Amino acid sequence: MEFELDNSFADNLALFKAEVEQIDPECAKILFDNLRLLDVEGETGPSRAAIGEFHKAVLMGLDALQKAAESKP
Amino acid sequence: MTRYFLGNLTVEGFRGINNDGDPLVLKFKADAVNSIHAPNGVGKSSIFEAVHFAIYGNVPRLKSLQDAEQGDSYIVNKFHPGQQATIDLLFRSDDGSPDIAIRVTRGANSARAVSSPSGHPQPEDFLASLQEDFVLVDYGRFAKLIDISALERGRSFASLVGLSRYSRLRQAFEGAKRTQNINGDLGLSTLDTEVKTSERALSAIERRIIAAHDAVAGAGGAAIDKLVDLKTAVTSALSAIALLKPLVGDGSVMDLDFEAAEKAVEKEEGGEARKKLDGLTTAVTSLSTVALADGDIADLDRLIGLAKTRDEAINRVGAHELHALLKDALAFVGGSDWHDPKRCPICEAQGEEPLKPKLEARIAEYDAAAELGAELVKEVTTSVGIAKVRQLEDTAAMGIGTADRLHVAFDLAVKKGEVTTADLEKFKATAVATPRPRALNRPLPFPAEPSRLGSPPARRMA
Repeated sequence: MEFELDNSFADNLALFKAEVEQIDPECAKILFDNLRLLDVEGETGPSRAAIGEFHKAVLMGLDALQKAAESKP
Repeated sequence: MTRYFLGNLTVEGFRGINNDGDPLVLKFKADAVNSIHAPNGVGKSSIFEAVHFAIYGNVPRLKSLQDAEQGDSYIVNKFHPGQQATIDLLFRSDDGSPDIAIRVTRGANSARAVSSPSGHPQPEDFLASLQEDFVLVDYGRFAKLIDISALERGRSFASLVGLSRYSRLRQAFEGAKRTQNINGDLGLSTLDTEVKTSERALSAIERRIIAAHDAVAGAGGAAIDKLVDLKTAVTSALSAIALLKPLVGDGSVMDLDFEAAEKAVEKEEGGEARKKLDGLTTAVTSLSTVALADGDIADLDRLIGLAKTRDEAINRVGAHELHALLKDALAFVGGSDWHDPKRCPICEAQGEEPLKPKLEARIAEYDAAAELGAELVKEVTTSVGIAKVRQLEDTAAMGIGTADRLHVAFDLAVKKGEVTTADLEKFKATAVATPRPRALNRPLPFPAEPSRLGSPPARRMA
């Protein structure tokens, strides 16, 4: 995919989300549910601790996904 | 998406720009690079700071001052009669949309206020939207840009062209996908170790399953991936044992009550009596390994002989105190203060021969006796017979309490160099009273090893 130069950041992020959802909608949901942990203000991006929080949140999301799959008849 | 260029900038009463009633007006061209040049000290930095204050709400140079220096008090020009800073910005669109005029004011004692003379409904939000894509580069920033690393410079350029948020997010994704971070945050290294340990344990269990199958079914070459075949073979083998057949019935080995099977085998083998017999057999086996042989008794006899020889030598030379007295007398007689070599320095008796040779001969006899004692201690320490009695006493099957074991006190005495003939004779008496290997090695009326389910005795019952 390619971002549109004239798009706002939010519009390009929506393009990215649509592209990821085509690959794996469930994982895309986990990513975008927790993207706020990575998309932070500042010059240097998210801290190492914030990345750790993101990883834990993704792990919880994957666990929930697995439990949901197991509970299906 | 509409883009805006700064078309006009008007400044009054801000920082170094007083211009009371006659604001400084700057006009910029949208299709050109605009530059501002002037001699030092006329307010170029103040122009830059005015744009920054309008968009970001602060002046970096004042923000970095200590609280006590009250940096905010320098925002409004100290000599401006109205004591108010006013910054007007006119933004021109690139797509024909209406221009947007923004006015930012700040009084000496009041907060920054934003309004829009052109009627923009949310002038604060408009300025905030510019914060995302604008970076104002002053001299300090430019100098820093030259010195920083290539990576940091790339980030700065990303900001310059309005891609800072994309750049930050890309860096965040890179940090999130880094293997080291994932391993650390999710404990993957620990999980990997646990998986490997479990795999090793599983492999050991599989080997035990195959070994158990081979022992019960009496066949080799079983494959763990053919569990159904293994179960069938073991079930068949157990059903062929008369004792277990009722327990297996028409079911599989997986349904077998192993506790009941074990009890059935125990009962068949004699129950409690069999257990006692197994215990006795184990005791006999352990005692067989430590039983004294003829050579061990002979070794004890040899030690007793050495002890008696030492005793006789000591009896001949007398007590230890006499030895000391003889040595003192020899030292005295050999000294320069004693002038009559035939006269005894202790009893003053006058002899016919010099005393010194006699004293030296007696002392030599005592030294020989002491040497015999040391030799005995050395022999006892390495004695096979003593070691055997010690091992015998320590064997659990003998049931001898620690306090009653001869070797405990004897070993202490040996460490002090005090080996007595009587102790050695007690050792021999114990050794002689112990049954000899010949008697223990008689054929037993039962198997020497305790029987187990699946071992030869179990198959014998089939």
